[in-house]
Amino acid sequence: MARSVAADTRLGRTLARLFPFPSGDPGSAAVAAIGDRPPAGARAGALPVHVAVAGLVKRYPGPGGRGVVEAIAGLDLEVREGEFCVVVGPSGCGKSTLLRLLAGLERPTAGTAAVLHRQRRLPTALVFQGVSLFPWLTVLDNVAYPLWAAGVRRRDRHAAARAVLARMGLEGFARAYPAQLSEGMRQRVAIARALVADADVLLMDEPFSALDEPTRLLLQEELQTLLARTGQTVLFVTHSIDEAVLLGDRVLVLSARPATVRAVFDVPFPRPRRVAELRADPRFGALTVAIWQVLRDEVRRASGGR
Amino acid sequence: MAGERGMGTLLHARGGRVWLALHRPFAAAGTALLAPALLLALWELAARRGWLDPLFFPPPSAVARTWWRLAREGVLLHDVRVSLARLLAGFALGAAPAVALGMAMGLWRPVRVALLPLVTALYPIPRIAVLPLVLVLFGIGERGKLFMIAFSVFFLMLLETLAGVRRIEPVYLDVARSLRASRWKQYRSVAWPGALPAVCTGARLALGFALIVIVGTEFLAASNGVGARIWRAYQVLDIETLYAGLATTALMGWGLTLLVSAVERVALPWQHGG
Repeated sequence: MARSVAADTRLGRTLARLFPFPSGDPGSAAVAAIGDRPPAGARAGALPVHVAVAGLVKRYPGPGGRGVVEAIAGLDLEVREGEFCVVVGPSGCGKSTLLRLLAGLERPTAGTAAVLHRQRRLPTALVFQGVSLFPWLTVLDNVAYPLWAAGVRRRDRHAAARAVLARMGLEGFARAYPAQLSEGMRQRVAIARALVADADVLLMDEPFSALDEPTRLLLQEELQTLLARTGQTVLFVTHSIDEAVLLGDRVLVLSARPATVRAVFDVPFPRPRRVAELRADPRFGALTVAIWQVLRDEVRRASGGR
Repeated sequence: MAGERGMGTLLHARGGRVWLALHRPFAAAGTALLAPALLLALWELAARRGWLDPLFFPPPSAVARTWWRLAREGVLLHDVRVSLARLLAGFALGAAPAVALGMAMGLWRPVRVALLPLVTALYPIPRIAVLPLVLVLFGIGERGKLFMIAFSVFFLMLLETLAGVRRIEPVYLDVARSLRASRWKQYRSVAWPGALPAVCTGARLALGFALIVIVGTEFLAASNGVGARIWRAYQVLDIETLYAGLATTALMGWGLTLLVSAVERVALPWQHGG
């Protein structure tokens, strides 16, 4: 069957990405993988574009069916292969809408929002804000869900899901249900599910916003380590400037609704990044201040101030 | 909170109050049994002392003896088997299309818009009120009784299923759609399990209704079954058998509740801490 063959190759890619070094010391392998990832600024120009948004417009019918709400008005952005691009903006500015458009959950009113490479639509995986794990599935089946949707055999998809769970230190919770886990654990599992999907592009919608600070800091570091292995392209939405600078190769500031790109900042720090080290770096403070100065005006406009 | 971890936390957190925490269910059961036990004891006393007319209120011990005699003769078991068979067959006949239609109405707006007014209009008709019509249409055979049960559970199951589907968080469908799950897989993996708790609640309520309706129907249109037993006891003023029949229906209701709980434990493992 053509379907299962394709699925098996997909699965093979997932495993290869997660375990790039079949033998040898896994510890040194991880270090090598992280070290191999060059700062995005140096290579951005050469790499193919994965996310292409051009002249994007999205309008909704207004509340009560009266009038029109314009969420996005002529947005342009590009994210290249392997880049970690962060989008910040005032709340309600259309950040989530952008991700939903890219994930194919909604259609643009005008313009394009495409995730492709050489005319081929690339698979995406969306990590949602807040609760998104199926309460009726165990952790293992939740993580294996993207492979189930793709038609992968039970044994193979469970093997892949177990591999990802082990990679994230979650193997002991495979048989638990989401309701039995803490908020931080649940969000870890949601990320594991997105990784199993083996998407070329990860779309993350404020995945850590509901977490307490220590858990958030830990997950931010874990995410970097995981991505160093998989090399996936990421478009990450957040309302935290610190998070944007900590995680991003590039930070885009969106305007108040309707959203357009107001400013773009390159983040120069090498990886892996640690919060404590970044906070000690004066450039970190300067960058967050610069981003805030742009964002502040937009937040004021969004909340109706002058 | 349940499962091993939960119990462990409970043990550590409560310390000296562990014993209380573990035994609370039994203590609660004891308290719950106290009231009916007291009532029965009072009744027994009143009947024996002649404060109550034993013609209408025979002492519970006499009722229990009669119940036991009927049970040993196999009469009660036969009654229960006949009534339960009707009830479960009728339930299946009513619930299966109700769940299917409820899912369809929940998932597709046109179906909902077309059918909801009709359903809301028919839903409040008292189930037993259609019995004369059913007797005219079907006669007093088994088909009429099955239809009565099916009719009594249909609307309830339909509306519960519909509400269950509508209550599913949209984000779950978004997850399935964003991962390119086929339409069929979206229904199987999201709509069905998402609505299942509501379907179980519906089944719990509907079986209660079905019990009322089957007993009522058997009063008027049956020669066997628990309802017929009660009705014949009434006609010959065999009060002890009448009470024994009532006790039997109560036990049937209790048994059906246990059945639904058992099914729920298997069908909804995520709501029982694995």
